[in-house]
This record gives sequence, structure tokens and C-alpha cells, in this order.
Amino acid sequence: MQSALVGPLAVGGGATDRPASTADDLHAWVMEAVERYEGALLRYARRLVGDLDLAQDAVQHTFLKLCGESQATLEHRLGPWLFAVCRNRAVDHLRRGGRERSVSSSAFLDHSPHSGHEQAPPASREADPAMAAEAHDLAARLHDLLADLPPPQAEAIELWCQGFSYRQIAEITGRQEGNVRVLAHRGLTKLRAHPLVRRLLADLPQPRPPHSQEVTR
Amino acid sequence: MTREKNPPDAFHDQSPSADERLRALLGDGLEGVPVTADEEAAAGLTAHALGELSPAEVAEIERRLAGAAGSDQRTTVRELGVIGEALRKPAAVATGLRAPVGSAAIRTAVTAALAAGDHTTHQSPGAVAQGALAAPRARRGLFASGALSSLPMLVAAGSTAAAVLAVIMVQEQANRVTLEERVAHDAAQTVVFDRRASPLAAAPSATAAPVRRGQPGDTAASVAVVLDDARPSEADKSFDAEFGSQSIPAADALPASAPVAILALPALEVNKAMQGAGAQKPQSGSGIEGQQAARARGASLPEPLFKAPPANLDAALSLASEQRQGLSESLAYRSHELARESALSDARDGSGLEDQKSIPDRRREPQQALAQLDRNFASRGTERYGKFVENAFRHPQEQPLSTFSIDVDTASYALVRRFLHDRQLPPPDAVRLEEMLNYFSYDDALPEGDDPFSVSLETAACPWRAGHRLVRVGLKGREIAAAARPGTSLVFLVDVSGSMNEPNKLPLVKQSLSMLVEQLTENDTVTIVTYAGDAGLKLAPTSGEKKGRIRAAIDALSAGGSTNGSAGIEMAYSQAAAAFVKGGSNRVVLATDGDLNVGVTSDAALVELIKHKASGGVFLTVLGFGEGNLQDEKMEKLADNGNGLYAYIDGAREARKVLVEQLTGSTVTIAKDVKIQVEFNPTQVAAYRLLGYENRIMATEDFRDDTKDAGEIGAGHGVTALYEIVPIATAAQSPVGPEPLKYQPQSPVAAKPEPAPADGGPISSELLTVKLRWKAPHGDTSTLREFPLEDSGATFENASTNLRFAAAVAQFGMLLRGSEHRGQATLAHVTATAAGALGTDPGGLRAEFLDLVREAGALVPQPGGAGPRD
Repeated sequence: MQSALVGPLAVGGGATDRPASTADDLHAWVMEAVERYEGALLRYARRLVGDLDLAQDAVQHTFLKLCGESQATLEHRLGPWLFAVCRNRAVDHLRRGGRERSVSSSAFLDHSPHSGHEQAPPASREADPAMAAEAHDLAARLHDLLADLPPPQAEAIELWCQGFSYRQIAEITGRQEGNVRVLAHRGLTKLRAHPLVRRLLADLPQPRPPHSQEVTR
Repeated sequence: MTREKNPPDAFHDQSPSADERLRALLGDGLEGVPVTADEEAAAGLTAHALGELSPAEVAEIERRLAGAAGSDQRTTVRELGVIGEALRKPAAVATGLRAPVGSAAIRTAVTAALAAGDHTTHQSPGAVAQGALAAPRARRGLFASGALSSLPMLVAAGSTAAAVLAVIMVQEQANRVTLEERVAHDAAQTVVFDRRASPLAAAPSATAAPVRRGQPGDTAASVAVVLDDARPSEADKSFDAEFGSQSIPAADALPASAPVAILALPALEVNKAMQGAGAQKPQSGSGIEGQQAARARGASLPEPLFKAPPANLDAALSLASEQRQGLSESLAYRSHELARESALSDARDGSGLEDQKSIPDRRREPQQALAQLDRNFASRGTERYGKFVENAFRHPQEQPLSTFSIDVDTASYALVRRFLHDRQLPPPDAVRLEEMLNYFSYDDALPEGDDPFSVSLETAACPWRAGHRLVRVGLKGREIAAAARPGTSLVFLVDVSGSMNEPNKLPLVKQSLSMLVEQLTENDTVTIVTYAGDAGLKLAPTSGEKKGRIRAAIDALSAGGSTNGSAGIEMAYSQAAAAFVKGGSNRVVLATDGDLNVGVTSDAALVELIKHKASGGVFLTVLGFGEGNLQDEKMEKLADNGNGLYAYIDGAREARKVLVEQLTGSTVTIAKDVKIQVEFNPTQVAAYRLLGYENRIMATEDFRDDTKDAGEIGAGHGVTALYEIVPIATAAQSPVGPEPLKYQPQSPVAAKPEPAPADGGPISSELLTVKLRWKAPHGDTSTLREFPLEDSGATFENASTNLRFAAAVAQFGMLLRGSEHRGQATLAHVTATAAGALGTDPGGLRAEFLDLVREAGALVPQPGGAGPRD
């Protein structure tokens, strides 16, 4: 089912009773959210739906939906709320069986109506080791590999990368917190076991103190 | 699941289907693998490494790990911590998806949505309409947002904004189609809407449906009809369920004068043309079923022009690039066409199919107003690429002379490389053949005597069109030993605005400049000026000997703040004047990501300033960095007017090529205002075409005009130009040969009185003569040289590696552009040709080219697996 009507649109002309100053505030608030979350949401959504244009749809839907929310109710959970709405939107898209492939990406990437290839295998990206070494440090490699993890694991890690705690990730994905913990663990363990990461880790400078705290937020 | 038992397999698990994705989102994510107690504990360690545990839990784990037995686990935690830390770094570079792609559009959509729901904002409906149409993503999102369901209410509200939304959503609907529909749809769009010849849509059947133009008198009712017609997808079942057959009950309430509705109608006609002219009433069902039903009812639904995905890889590539330009790239083009059609229909009073034909093709007839529109939409994100029209075939009888300025820029190739590495096809306008050709060095003979460069000419069979000939003109600049390099004054003008604060921008700039500084000597001076937030002189003119000081100044550069530097470019030039090396080489080196807000208000004023300074002996080198904001056209223009070079630095390797290996070329000009004029012999040549150099074409008379600026050639630089020639002998078979003339003899050889050669000799059997003019770097008068060429009759296989490799690059460029002139060029052919013409390949650049061709091949469908990947 079409999830919901966009706030102000849904009520048609009925929204006119909102005072002007509130409208301006709302606008500023939504814009600020766009500023802050758009890029991250886009990356997230694309990973979920595998299609840039649909991802952009989902992101825009999210912000349009935000237009119908009040600042007060979302005060402390804006980030998780946005990601959760975006995720639901992605689920809606996928529920329709991916029929709504957007023109652009499917034109390039579909081999047939049934294969949803997001991208071609990185055939020659490593053809030139010098270049590869220059262009990809550990972070870049990890993000590349992340895309190849089972989606639930990649999702958990990606959300964590966005600065969300396990609890918030659980809220966004609708999963148990313990579940999220296991997913992140499985994903990270796989990343760590990957030969490329092993090599990069081996190349790193001296071991840090056993419990490096700089990773904490 | 096997991937759980065998972790490395997980990394080869490519691209799940929509169903798989859905399952991944809905389940518990554990994929049926139960969580053991051991795993639970290990997950605790991971949580610890990620800093996800409460202080109490941390203390508990620390206790457990303290002993010697915990050593392995400590390593695990440390490594996971490193991984987590790396992962939380900004992901922009890693994912290839730069942040706010559709930012402006989303903002517009939000504004429009708020305005639509709230009439108390200051937005005028007109402004909303403008904004929404100008913002492709807004159109997308408004459809996607489910706003469709609220359309009737909006229409009832009677706002102009509602009309905009309606239009937008219909447009969106047209795009939300299944693959098969889309293919048919696109074909129709290509013919009806785009009207550019699509390589695959040769049949004109889609145009056969009568197309009614939007008229100023059209009312909302017709909008409503079209709205219904255009509803194709399942998504609308909710629409139907909620609003049933009442559809647009209040359509009449839509203001008849709503300008947006009128604006939109021509585009909506496309949908009608697809649905068949008879299909005036709403169709039930949707998608393919709907079309089939329509067919069954005998509606005049045009057949899809092609039903299956294209079987030919290269056709697909061209189609993809056509589509990218015409349809898919954020739909900007479509909204542009809307505006354009509207402008045209305003200008005309008649309507009907004849008029459709008379609408000038976007590519062939630049009209001023429309050209402006075109420019507005030749963008990608906020990157801008100047649109250009490929050179067409010309006929020597009408235009015996082809005149252009040389160009040693190479930025286009680096840009293409960046796109392909990001697994995207580059926008056609970013593909400039001459810059791709000149990226590579060719082993042409070095100049003899005092000439600044040598000229090599060669002919061979044209590999992409049988019967045609290919001519390569190669210029090779004199090389200057690094030691003999004259003193150089370099002023680095570095953009340190906030946007430069990305790994592949300022850090790469610093790295690049450091590399360059390593090459400098006591004869050189370096000055560093920054602009944007933190503007000013960072390093007073300093001898190239004092590398430590220069390096320290470079290291101290940091990005931040807003772009508002006012002194920037003027300060750079005044510093250049202060440190001027007489008889040496004086350059301002601008390093930027494209934000050229350097204090001189307009582009024109900036170009004028740079031109003026160049005439004073200070040249400009432009180094482009990063992506997302690149003002490609502007930067090229600046470099061209500043007697300089524009290079795009996409990595340390490219920096080394441009700034170290070609330092003398990048800094020492050996000849300026180099112009090439080729005169074709009409007794030999029926038609000719210059590949690339579209931005460098000059008027015939400018060749002799020494006041006209042209390109510079640096020490060791090479310039390659290719001409495709239709010889008289095969002109009859060639599709591009001249139309037979009624009043003139058809073959000049047979019937024309042979022109008496000036020296009384026999009529020339020469194919063409290349004439060159150039000035010394500080000279004011030009030198002229002429080089005649006779056709050797060589086959392509017997041609030099220089010609063969250049031909491969040209074919690749034409394929990426989706050029109508690509003939039988294929990626497979490009690969084969280039692989056989690698030559000595210093620096491995040609081998890298092969990789790029392969990457391009991986971006397009390859039914049957055939293609250049083999």
C-alpha cells in the first residue's frame, strides 16, 4: 500500500491554518535536515534498493514526509526517524517487485528484465596496482567490500558508520538490538578476514594500546 | 547458508534481485544461521571494539582480556577498532556516490510541497511552478512521495502549484515503467520527443500517431484526460482503490489559465502518441497489460520499435549515451525540452505534424534563446560541461579550407577515466576527442633546425567506415632538457574554500604542488596565493632552491570557510608581475575544484583579465580537482584564453604526469598562437571531417590574422588531429558524399576544367596541404609553413602505430559520445586496434587505455557474453 500521504499535501488546502512564522520555521528545519542527512540517506537508500534514482526517490519522500512532522515530536530522534522512513520507503519499492526500475540506471545496467545488476564487477579496477594503491586506502577498500557483505550485515555496519548506536540501528531496522549486535559482528569479522584487509592491517604502523578509545564516539 | 561457512564467498555475491533485497530488509537478517553462545560473546568483543558498550560492560571485558590468554582477543579488538575507525571516515570517496547529488532539487521539492500545502508562505505560485519544473528531482520525488493519491484534492484546491504537481507526476508516471515498456517508451520518446536520430530507432512508426499540440486554450479537462492516459503502473492501484472512477472529480476547478498546464501539454502528448490517438478515455489496467488490452481493442498503439534489449553491445552503448543525454540524466533534459517546446509553440500559431517536423533539432540549429536553455541543462550535479556539436562532413568544393587552433589540453581524458572508474559512462559533452587524442604521446620525429615543432602526416584506410580514408596530422614540440629549462616564475593560486576539504581535492593539490616543487631549481621562484575564506599571500616569491620553506607553506594550506575571497586572482597576477622572470616562463597555476568565485564578478570579466595578463607574458595553467562541482567548460575557457593548459588531476599519478614528467611542457611554451589550416584538393576529396577540436574551429580569415589568439604548444608536447576523408573515388557509395548538383557537373575530375596549377606543373594529385602558422613565445608575427600530402593508399593494418592508436582513441571517443559518425566502430575493434598499437608505451598510458575500454564494456549489457571483455 502506498504508505501515507505527505503531510501538507494530504490535507490539501486544510493546512492554511498554520501560522506563517511556523511555516518559515518548518521550512528552515526541514532544510537543515536536508543539509545534514541527504548524502548519508542517499548512500543508505542506494544500497538498499540498488538503484540511484529510486534511492533519490526514497530520500526525497523522506524529506517530504518530514514536512508533515512537527519539530517537537522528532526533537531527539530525527536521524533514526529519517533513516527509518527512508528504509520503509525502500521496502515499499522492493515490495512492488522492483518493477519501477527507473529509466536511467536500468537502461545501463539491466541485462534482462529479471537481473537487477547494480553494477558490473570491478573487472579492471585492480589492473594497475600503483593506481589502486594510490586511490584506495583502507577506508575506501572497506567501503567497497561492505557492498559485498550480506545486506543485513552491511546495513548494520553502514548505519553504525553514520554514527548511530546499536540501539538506534535496532530502531531504524526494526530488529532486536542483540540481533544488530550479531549482524555488525558477523559483517566486521568478515571484513577483517578478507585477504585485502589483512594485508592493509599488516601494513599499518605499530599496534595501538589494546583498547583504542578513539573509535568511541 | 554456504556463504556463512565460507566467508570469502560473501565477497563475490553480486547484485541481489529486488526480492532478495526485500528479504534482507524484512527478516531478522541472520539468514537462518543461529547465534551460538560463542558468537554472542564474540559479538560482545566487536561491540567493545566499536565503542558500543556501557562503561560497566567495558570494565568487565577489559578484565577478561587482561591476562595472557586474552592476547588474541586483544588483537581482534584492536583490528576491529581500526576497521571501525576507518569505516567511520567520510565515505564520499569510497562509495563513488558523492553526497548531495540532488540537493537543489530536493530543496525545491520541499519548498514546493510546503507552499502547496500552505498558502501563507511568501512563495508565489509562479515561483513554485518554475522551481518545480526546473528541478528534476523534485518531479521525481513528488511522484514518488505518494502525492499522486492526493492529486484530486490538490486539483480541487485549485492552486497553480497543484497543476505543477500534476504535470510532474504524470511525467514521472511515464518513467515508472517496466523494462519492456520503457524500451518502447524510450523509442517513442526518441522519435517524438527528442527527434534526434536514435541509432536503434530507425523506424519512424511512433511519429505516425497524430500529435496534437498544446494550445493556450487547452483547459484542465484535457490535462485530466492525459493524466488518466498516462497512468501505467501498479502503484496506482491504490489511487484507484481510494478514488475509484471519480478520478479527477474537480478537474474543472483547475484554473484554465494555469500556465503550467499549457507548458506541460506538449510533453504529455508524447504519452498520448504512445497510447494511440484514439485512446482518449482512461484505460483500465496498466503497464504491459494495459497496452496489450489497448492493442486487443484495436487501438492504434504503435509497435515498440525494439522489443528485446539491444543485441549489439556498441549500439547499446550509443543508445545508453543517447538516453543519458536525452532522457535519463536526472530528467533535466526533459524538463528542458518542455520549456523549449513551450517556447516554440508560443512562437507559432499553427499546429500539427508538419510543425513537429519544423521544430529545429536541438543539435543542429542553435537559436539564441534556446541555446541559453541548452546551456542551462548541460550539467551533471553541479558539474558543468559545455555542450558542443560534433564537426560534420564538409565538401571541399564549398569549403576547401579547414582552420583550427591547436589544443594540448588533456582534461577530458582524465575526466572520462574518472567516470569509468566510478562505473558510470561520462556525459557526452565531457568527451572531447582532441583532448583524448592528445593525452597520449606519439613517437613522431623531433623537429630539426630552429623549428619549434615537427609535422608528421600520414594516410591510411579509415577503420570505421569502408572506403573512407583517415589522415593524421601530428605535431611534435621541441624538447627542452630539464637543465636547459629557462627560469620560471610560478604563482600557485590555490582554492581553499570549504568544498576543497575532501581527500581528492586539497590534499591532492598539496601533493601535486609538492611534486612540482621538487623539480624546481634556483632559477625558479614560487609564490603561493590562496583565495576563498582564508585569502591572501601564503608565500612571498621564494627561490626554487628553498624547498623546505616552500614545502612548509604548502603543508600549511588548509581548507575552510566560505568562498568570498576578493583579492585572489588579482593578487596572483600582481605577484606574478612582481616576480616576473624576463625571457623566462611566467605562470599562474590555478588549482581549484571549479569554484571560480575569485573576486572578479562575471565570467566575461575574468576571461578578459586573464587574456590581458596573458598578453603581458603571464600565462595561466588550470588544474581541476575533485568532482561534483567541476566547471569544466569555464576552466577550459580560462586556460585557453590565458595561453595555458587545462589539466584535470584525478590522482597522484596524473599529477606526476602533468607536473613532473611534462613539467617543461606545462611551464615552458615553445610556440604560441599555433593555427592549422588544411586545404583539401577537390579533385581528390569529396568530403572531409575534422575529429574533435569543435571548440577550436577558427574562421578561414583568422588564419592569417596575427591578432587572433590560438593555442600554445609546450616543450615536448604533441598535437594530433585526425581527418576522416571521403575520396572522390568512393564518394558515390558513401552516405556522406555530397548530393548530386543539378547545375554543376557531378564529378570535378571528369568534367571540371582543370585549374591551372600556379607553377605550371601538372594538376596536383595531392590530397591536401597542411598550413601552419605560429609565433615565437614572445613574438608578434607569425611564421608560415606548408606541408603537402599525397595519399599513400596504405591499408589501416600497414599504418604506423601512431595512426592506429589515434584511430582507436577516436573510435572510443565517438562511441562514448554516441556519435552519429562512429560508423562501424565497436569497442571490440577499439580494443583490438589499441592492443596492436601499444608501441613503446612510456608510462603505461596506452595499456591503461585498454583497461578503460574494458571498463566501458562492463557498463553496458552484453547479451551472449560477447564483447570487449573477451
